[in-house]
Amino acid sequence: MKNMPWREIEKTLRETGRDDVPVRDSDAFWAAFKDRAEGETRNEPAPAPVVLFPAWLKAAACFAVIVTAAALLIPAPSNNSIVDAELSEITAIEVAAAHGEITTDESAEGTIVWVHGLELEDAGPNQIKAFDVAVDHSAVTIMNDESTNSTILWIHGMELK
Amino acid sequence: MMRRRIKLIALALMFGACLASAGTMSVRLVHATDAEGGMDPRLSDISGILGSLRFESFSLLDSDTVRLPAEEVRIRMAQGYTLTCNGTQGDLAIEMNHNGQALLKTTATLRRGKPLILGGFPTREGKIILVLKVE
Repeated sequence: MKNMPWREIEKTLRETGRDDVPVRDSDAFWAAFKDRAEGETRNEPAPAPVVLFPAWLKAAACFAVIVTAAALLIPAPSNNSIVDAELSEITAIEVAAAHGEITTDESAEGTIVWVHGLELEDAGPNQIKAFDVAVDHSAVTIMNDESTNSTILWIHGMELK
Repeated sequence: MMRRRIKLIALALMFGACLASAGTMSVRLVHATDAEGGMDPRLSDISGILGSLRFESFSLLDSDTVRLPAEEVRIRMAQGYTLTCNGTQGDLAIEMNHNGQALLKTTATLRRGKPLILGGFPTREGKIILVLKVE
């Protein structure tokens, strides 16, 4: 812009009388503009709404959330000996009630103790495990009577002094 | 999860063991004779087993209860009889004495509701019968 021949341009304008162009004030300009614009409408297509998160981005986010949640829920197999040492260990077992076989299964995922045929209800007759008659007698009879669910220990010929 | 299951099994086993060993044992001292007298009404629940014995009358002389498991529980009963119980229902040591004299020592497993008859202890008229029953 500095290299423009301003002096020559100004001289030319003076010679041609074009330097005295009448200048309208701004109020007159806008009044004339509004008069011309009266009744005119502007019919341009509205711009499309701005899309902040496109569909592919939402789908990717949902997929990432699902994968993360699944990774947190699935326990990772442990090869750490310290963690494995915390598994339960059966060192001794005694089942007081009547039962059948005892099965134990100690795997990497846990320990199972299963008592087969556990009977909490009393079954069978009474049982005389041992006896000793301290006084004179002739015989001892032990009998289980199924009809009355009873057990009899009868000492024959006992004599008390 | 697995540990919780193991704990539940252990609790069930302990509960079962408690059920198997806990209980109240009734002790009844019965005098059986050949005299006419019939069955004492307080012995009606064991009249079946007593009736199978060859006696005409059964009278209740004394009765007591023992809480199982028992630790050297001694019961003094009528006519100089003493009963000592030690152990659990599944392994109960019973000792019967008469005026300080040991008569019988036995170890038994008692089933709930099934009486154990210890009999043959002589009297002038008949026999003394000890009836043990875990309720």
